[in-house]
Order: sequence, then structure tokens, then C-alpha cells
Amino acid sequence: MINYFIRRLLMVIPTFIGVTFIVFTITRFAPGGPVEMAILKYRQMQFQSEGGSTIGSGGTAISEEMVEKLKRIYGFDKPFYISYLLWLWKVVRFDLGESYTYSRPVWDVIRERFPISLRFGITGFLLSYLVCIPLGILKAIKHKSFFDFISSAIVFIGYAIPGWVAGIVLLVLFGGGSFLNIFPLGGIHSLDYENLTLIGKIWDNIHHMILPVFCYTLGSFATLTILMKNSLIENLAQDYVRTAFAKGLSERTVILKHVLRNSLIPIATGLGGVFSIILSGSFLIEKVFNIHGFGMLGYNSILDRDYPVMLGILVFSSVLYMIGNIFSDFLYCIIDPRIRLD
Amino acid sequence: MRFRDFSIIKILFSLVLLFSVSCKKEEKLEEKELLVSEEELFKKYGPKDLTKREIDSLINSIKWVTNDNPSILWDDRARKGGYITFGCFGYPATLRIYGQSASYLLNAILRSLLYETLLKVDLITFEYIPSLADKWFISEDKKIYFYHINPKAKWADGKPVTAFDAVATWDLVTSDDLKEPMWQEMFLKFKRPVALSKDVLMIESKEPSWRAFFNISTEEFFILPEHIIGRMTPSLYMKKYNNEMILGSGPYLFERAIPNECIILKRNPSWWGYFYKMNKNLFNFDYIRFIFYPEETIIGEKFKKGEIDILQIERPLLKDWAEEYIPSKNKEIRNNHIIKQRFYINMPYVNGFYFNLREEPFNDERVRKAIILLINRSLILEKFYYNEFKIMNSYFAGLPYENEKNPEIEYNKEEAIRLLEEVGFSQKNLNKDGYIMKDGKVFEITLNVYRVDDTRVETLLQEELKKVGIKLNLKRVTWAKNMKDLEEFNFKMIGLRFTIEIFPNPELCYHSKFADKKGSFNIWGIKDKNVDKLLDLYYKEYNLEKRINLLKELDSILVNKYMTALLWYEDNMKLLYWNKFGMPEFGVSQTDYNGLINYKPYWPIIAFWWIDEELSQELERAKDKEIMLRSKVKLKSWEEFKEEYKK
Repeated sequence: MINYFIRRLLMVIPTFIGVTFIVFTITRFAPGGPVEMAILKYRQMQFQSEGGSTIGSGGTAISEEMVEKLKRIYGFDKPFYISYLLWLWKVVRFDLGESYTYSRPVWDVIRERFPISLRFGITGFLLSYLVCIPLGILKAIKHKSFFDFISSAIVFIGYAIPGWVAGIVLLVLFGGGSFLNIFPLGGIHSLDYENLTLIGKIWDNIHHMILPVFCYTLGSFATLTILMKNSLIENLAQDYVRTAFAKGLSERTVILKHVLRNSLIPIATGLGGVFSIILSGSFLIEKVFNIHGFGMLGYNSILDRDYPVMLGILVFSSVLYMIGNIFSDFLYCIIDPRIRLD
Repeated sequence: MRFRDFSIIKILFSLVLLFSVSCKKEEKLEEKELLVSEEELFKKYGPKDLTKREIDSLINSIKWVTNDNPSILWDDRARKGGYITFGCFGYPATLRIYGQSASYLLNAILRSLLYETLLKVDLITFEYIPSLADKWFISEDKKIYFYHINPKAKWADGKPVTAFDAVATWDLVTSDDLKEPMWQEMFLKFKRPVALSKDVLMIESKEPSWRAFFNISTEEFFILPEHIIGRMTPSLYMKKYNNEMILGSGPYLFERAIPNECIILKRNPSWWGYFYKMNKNLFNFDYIRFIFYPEETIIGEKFKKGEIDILQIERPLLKDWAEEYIPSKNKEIRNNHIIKQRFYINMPYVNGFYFNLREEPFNDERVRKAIILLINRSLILEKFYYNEFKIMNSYFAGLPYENEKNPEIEYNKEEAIRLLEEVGFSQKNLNKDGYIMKDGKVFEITLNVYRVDDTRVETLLQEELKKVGIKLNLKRVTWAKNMKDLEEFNFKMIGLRFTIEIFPNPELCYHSKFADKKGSFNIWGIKDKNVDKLLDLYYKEYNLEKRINLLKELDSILVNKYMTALLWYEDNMKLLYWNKFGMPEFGVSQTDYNGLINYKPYWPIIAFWWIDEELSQELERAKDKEIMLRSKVKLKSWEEFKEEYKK
């Protein structure tokens, strides 16, 4: 079993190289790369300099020399495989390069997003599991009751509404601009946050988190709850449950001591995702609430053709997802003694 | 443990070892050694090939000019104090004013508040007025510019501004490490400036045009302090000043910035610029806050909540302006807590459908005119845009260069049909789908559509053209694809909108030398000897009045070529603001002191408005109650104010 996991860990390396090589190659050959984007930006800027709306350019024509310089700046002056090897060698030395947009090390840009994504990711993750597992159990026990019907309706309505739409609606309703002034209008803390007391800061953070966390978890409630419920119902129909009841055990003991552990196996698959919490984030929800986590960073890096940031996020996400998968397998083995990987 | 297990552990161990060995050592940024003495600075930034006597003789030969009579635009009632909060969409990628990713609107706003150029442009007369330089001189061959730095000019830390600062700034901006070749190229149109002394700066242009003088004196060249940038490498500047700003010599100081949330500026109470009378009651707010939010709907909510003081209404929000922000639906507007106001300044664009004159069918003037005649601009403005825009009949609409004699082309279907018949597109020669034909070919045009939020105008045009048998295909493309087609002249007709400068730069667009050059801005492919001649004269002409006349002449030629179906421009800025501000009788100015047109309200509001203490207190008491506040007096339009001021 140890062997199996060591082998799985070693497999991370070629998988990582494969994934990054494919994406890197795409970035080299996809149209509208950073050089073209820069030229387009200049063209727009310049034409506006006939105009010159933002910052004029003094009416400079775009020369060949300028294009060559841009290629050098963005590292497009070498064959793609050479560029890839150079990039990989840097990654091996924990250097993810420099962002085209921010002119700063990619690592710094990414590092700033960790606390934000962790805060929302962990809260959302815990909240979904803490709510959905008990709710799923309750729904399974009260299967086909009024409570089951109503709670199903609620979680499915939640599942049907996109998180970002709910976000806008909630902010308009409770943000204090048009209707009730209950919650702040987005952001992660108030502007005068620095001047608050410790208690004030804690409350300020919680106050700012309620609506976005609700929107983050809105969609996952349905999936997890129904998964838990169905898994429990399936196990309740097993022979060993009938035996347990025949032995005179109470329903509570049967469910909590015998059935629950087996029912948690499908739920455990998702626990591997705890590693990728750090990278969680929906661009649309983040945009609505002005939370600058990984969702927004990833989306913007694609839009801006900021390839170093894009690849930096890929490095993290691919490694974390692979480790997460291994962790899920490990959890399987712990929860279900019948599973032995070799 | 089996041998295989041992090997796997060994492989793992080797990998860890390789990682740790190859780990990159953090590079130490090398800071240049301090240069402090004036002698050292002179050696570094002074002339390399002149003796002291030659320098003295050169300085003595300069016939300095200045402008002692700049327009005084501030209001007597203005008081300093308080703060103002703006809501913006995108937090800038960097707060640097030079280098990669620093060419956005907000960078331009920030730089105009924290830093200064050598000269400024008078907002009324468009003449040069003193800024960091109190005197200047242009050599007879129009290639060498001399500037005398005002001895009173100070950095925020009290150090004097010198000619060395300007040279150090030029060195920084032209460095490869700034990764911004466009800027580099712009500045390399000049030779490296030379500090003839601590106070006298000499800049030599490679081209003898008034525009070069304008660019380097007022538009592009914001001076940074040598005692900071001269002590660091350009790459350190790039890293260090991403989210903070170097102290400047301007009216505001950088207070703090929280990425993606806010930027706060603080007024510099001891700004040296108050020495000039023209600045006395300008820049009144103690603090300026820019709050960032990426979602338009929520910016509106923040304004209604009072977290933002000003809301500019642009095209996408016109419906709200006309139907939501009205007294019957909004109690804040009804009670004058929020003021809804139009500020009449011309915000010109070259806005319309551009024709490609290089190929059929638009190489024929009659066909172009026919299309123009089929665009019912009045109807579009009435139906779609609440008549909030102004029809344009000029390439310089709303600017002094507009030729008033240009005709207004009105919708005329019959005349369009007549012109098409004249060319050979007969209404009798239709194919089975009802489209006109010539030489067996259907008259068909493809128009790129990249703005997906509003395609009503294009759709209406499609319907109008169908009525006379012209097939218009609307092709959805990305902005990048549209720009690509533009670059390769791969279009017959293309929709574009560009802003204009107060001192236009029309050569790139209309000179025949650029007509066939791929990627040039002569989109139409216009080749006209008269236009070329006018342009050549325009760039040599230092007299503004004469330049205005030259461009009026150019405007007339361009309009009568029917090379663009000109649409409309804005003659007013629509603002909603909380009723606590005082402002001069014109409200906002058309341009800033660097010659940029104010398409956004930030600069003119920061420059001219102030907190009216009495109004502010009344508003505070009246908030959330049905208490009516005083409304504003009627403001003058900028043009009206200008005319009165000149008298």
C-alpha cells in the first residue's frame, strides 16, 4: 500500500510535465497573444491619440523594431520548446517568472490571493459539509415526509440559481443602496478597517463574508445533501441493517454507528478537494462581491494574456489536484477497510 | 523493506536534493551609489561636450519668453477641506506613471495630480503657461527647446526641482527595463535632454514640429525627482513602485492604496504651485478617494448608499438617467439630496462607419454618400438615445477646428436610390431575394459587430439598406479581431469611435504616405494632395489661430469626401452627485492643464470643486427624510463661460 502511494506520488511528475507542456504550447500558438495584445493596445491608444484619450503616444507609428522588442519582452523570440524548458527549469527552482500585467513576480501576485481564497474556501467547505451531512441524514430518516419535500425544494431552488445572480439580488436587497441596509456592499472589509478594535475587525470580516459565502455554497448544498441522503437510504436497505434492527438496536445506534460510516464513502471522495480549496473561487461571484481571489486572477490572466500568471496558477492547481486525488484514495482506505490498493 | 521500495525512496530523496540545490537564490537588487553633490549631478546630467564658457554664452543667448497672464478660473467661494470619493471599475495594474501597464486612464489622472510637466496649457486660450518652468524659448530652427526651472518649484519633501530631475526622468523612461517600447520610442524622438545648469534645461527634438514641443512640454513628460529615481536602477523602480507612488511636486500626495479596493490621495498644503495666482483656489479637497468595484450595478448602489459622491452616466446607463433617476421615482433627487445635472462641455469623437476607399464599392464617392443618406441619425437619437447626443458633421466636432460651413446630411432615401442608379445599381435589377445587382454581383457589405451590449444602430442600418436592396451582413467578432481587420484593411465598412485631442494629430490618419501602409491609421486609404499640403503646413505652424484655420479647411475637404458616415458626439457630461459641493459657474472644464479632454469628470471636479460646508451639514440633517434642500443655480456651458471670460 505504501508502495502504491509512493508510485502515485512519482506519477505526479510526468503528469505535471504533460499538463504544463500542453498548456504552454497552446499559449505559444493561440492567436491574440501578449505581443499582439500590446500592439492592439498601442493601436487603440495611438488612434485615440489622433485622439489620445488616456495617455497619448505622441503619434508614434508602430515599427518593426518595436514589435521585435515586444517579442523579447514577452519571451516570444525563442522556439516554444526552448521557452518551455527555460520556464520548467525556473519552476523547478520555484521561480514562476514575472507577470506581464503587474510587472511583479508571479509568486507575489499569487501569494496575495491565498488568504482571500483560503478564507472563503475553508468557510464554504466546512459550511457545506457541516450543513449537508446532518441535513442529508435527516432527509433520509424522514424520507417522503413534508420536511423532506420542502428541504428538497429549497436546495434545488438554490442549485438552480447561479451564485452570482443571487449575489447581485442580495446586494441590491440588503446592501443599503436601494432597500435594506443590513450588509456591506461587497469587498472583504470596510475602508476604515485599520482603525477598528480586534472585536470590530472580527465582526467586520464576518459581516463582509456572510453574503459571498452563502452564494459560494448555494450550488453545492443540493449535490452534497442529496448524495448523503441517497447513500444513507441505499445503506439502510442493506441486510446488515435489518440484522442490526433485529438485534434490538435503536434507530439512532444503527444509523450513527453502523450505517453512517458506510454512507460517507461517496462523500469522502470530495474531501480530497480540501487541497484545492486554496485555489477555489468563482470569477462571477468574486466580481459581484469585489473579492480578488483566484477566480478573478485566473480569469483576468486569461483575458489579459498574462501567461506567466496563467501558468503559475496551472502549476499550483495541477499539483494540488493530483495530491488531492491521492489523498481521496487514502481516505477511501481509511473509511472502508475492504478497499486495499496495490 | 524490499529493494524496489528502497529504490523508490532513493529516487524521491534525489528529487528533493535536486530541488534544494537548484533553488534560486534571491537576487539582491543593486542600488546605485548615492550622488549628492551638484558637481556630480552636473557631470551626470550636464552637457558632455561644452566648456563652462560655452555653456554660459549659450544660456546668455537665450531670449526667454513667458506668459504672465494665465486665465484665473477659480472661485472666490472655494474653501479647502473635506474629501471626495469616486467610484471606478478597474484598479490599475500598477500605480507607476511610466513603464509596462502604466498607460491607463487612472494612471493619467494620478500623474496629473501628483506630478507636473514643464509647462501647462491655458484652459481658455490654449496658450502655454508656466508650470515647473517659468520661462521657455524655442530656437530659430524650431528644434531646440530651453526651459528655465522656477526656483520656487519644490518636491513634496521640500527639495528644489532642478533640470537634473528632467534628465533623470528621461533616462528612466527610455530604459529598456521599463518594458514599454511605445513610450520609449516617443521619448527617443528627442535627444537626451541636457541640464545646462541647475535651472536651465535644453531639449533637442529630432523633428521641428510644434507638436514635438507640445508633447515634451505639457502632454507626456511628467518630471520625477532625481534624488529618488537617480538612486535606483530602472528595474528597481519597476518593482518598488507598483503599488505606491513616488513623491511629486504636484498638488496631491500619495497617502495609501489597498490593491483592488482604494487609492487615497492627500492634499499637499504646502504645494509650491500655490505661488502662482492661477492655482490659489484650485485643488481644494483635503483627501481624494478612488474606490474600486468591478460590477457596474453595485457602483450605482454604492452611490445611492452615499459611499460614492459622484456618478457619471455614460451610454449604457442612459435608460436609467431618463427613466430611473427622476424625481417621481427617486426621493433623493426629488428632494435635491442628489443633484442630476448636465455639464455642457463638448466631448468630441470621430464616431461613425468608416469606408474603405481602396476598393469597390466604396472607391466611388456616390456609393459612400448613398449609404450616409440612408442613416437616419435624428430618428436613432430620438428612439434609442433619448436625444442625449449631438449629431456631428465634422471630424473635429465640438472643437475650435470644426468648420461651421459643413453641411448636415439628412436622411434621404430617394436621393440615395438616385445615386445608386447613377453608379449602375438599378432598382429594376434585383435578384430573387430583392437585392440590387451590378455585373451579376449582389451589392453586399459585411460589417463587424464587436459591441454585443447594443447593436440597435447596426440592425436599423441593416433594415434601411435592405429597403434599397443592399445586403448588410452583421458579423459578430471580438474586439481583437475587429482591430486585426482594421490593421489589414480587411473591411469595406467598419464602425469605430475615437476620442480627439485638443491639439489634434491628424497626419497619421489623413496623410497619403500612410494610405497603403498596413497597420497605419489612415483607415480609409485617403490620398489627396490638398490634404497632404494642409497637413504639412499644419505641423510647421506654431500659431494656434492659423492652425485652427488650416484644420477647418482640412475638415471641409474630409467631410465632402464622404469617407465616414459620421454619427454623433456628446456635448454634455451627465453627472449625479450628492448635494454638498460648491463649484464655479462653469462646473467642469473641457480640458485639463496637459491638453487632455475631460471625458471623465475626475480632474475638473478635483481641480475646481469644493465642499460647501453649509450644504454638507444640511444634507447630513436631511438624509433619509423628506426634507427638501436648496437646488443649484443654473450653470453656464463651458463655451459660454469661455466667451464671457475672453471679453
